[in-house]
Amino acid sequence: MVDGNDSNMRDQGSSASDPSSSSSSFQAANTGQFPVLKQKTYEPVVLPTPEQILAGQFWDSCPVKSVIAGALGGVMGALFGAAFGASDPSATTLAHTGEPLTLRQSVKAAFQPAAMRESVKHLRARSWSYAKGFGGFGMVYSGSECVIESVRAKHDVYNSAAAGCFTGASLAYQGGPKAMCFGCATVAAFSVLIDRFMDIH
Amino acid sequence: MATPPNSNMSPAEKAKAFDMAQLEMEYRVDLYNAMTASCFAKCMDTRYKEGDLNVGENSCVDRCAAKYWQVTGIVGQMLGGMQQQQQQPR
Repeated sequence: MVDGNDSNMRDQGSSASDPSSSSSSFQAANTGQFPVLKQKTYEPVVLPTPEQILAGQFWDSCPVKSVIAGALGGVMGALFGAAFGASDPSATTLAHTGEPLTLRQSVKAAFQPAAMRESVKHLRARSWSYAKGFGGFGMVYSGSECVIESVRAKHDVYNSAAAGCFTGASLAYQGGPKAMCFGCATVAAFSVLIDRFMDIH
Repeated sequence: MATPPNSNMSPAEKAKAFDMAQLEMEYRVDLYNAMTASCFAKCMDTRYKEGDLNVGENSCVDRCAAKYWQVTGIVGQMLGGMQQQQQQPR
């Protein structure tokens, strides 16, 4: 019984894997059995080589992670700075009179070569400063979260809270203790909110 | 430890060596499976949000395996010491 069943299954397997075989013969062979819809295929498990393991450990290490996050933050900050730097309020007044311009005048003034050069310079400066800010934030946040998580050996929302607190405090270092406390609280709350919103944990 | 079978041993000795090697292998596999199971139960988040281990799970597994190995060594040493103590008074 077991033997016959086994050979029957093997027949089904061969006819299912061969697309050119007619479906009627397949169904005739299948009568009285459970309907076999699809032959399951299993990929063999391939163990990673030592080089692959080393590469994975390298890319998962905290310094590399924080540098990557800093670079991504820098790129994002540069784009943000470029977007907001174009709508700079200082470009809507004439430099030598300081009077506000009408929209038409300001557009006309903005397309003068000197003004264009000035605005491009301004935009680049603002883009660079945004890039530095965002990049620093990303680097400090990602690095501190990675360190905190690997020390705690847990993956939950408290990592984000602590990393946000550290980041907010360290970026407000020059503002004194009060500003550091405030930065800690706000950035921690913000990052916890973002985590909840993105449903990471 | 597994003895090389090509050395000039009597068949009885050879069979004994193979038995010991088999026992050792079974013990190792049991140890490995127990360690894997308990560290998986301790460290893994079973909601499986992402395919890879995250940083926390990684260091948890690291510590769990190290501790398990250390405790296994300590227990082995203690058992060996107890056996020696039991054998010596006779």
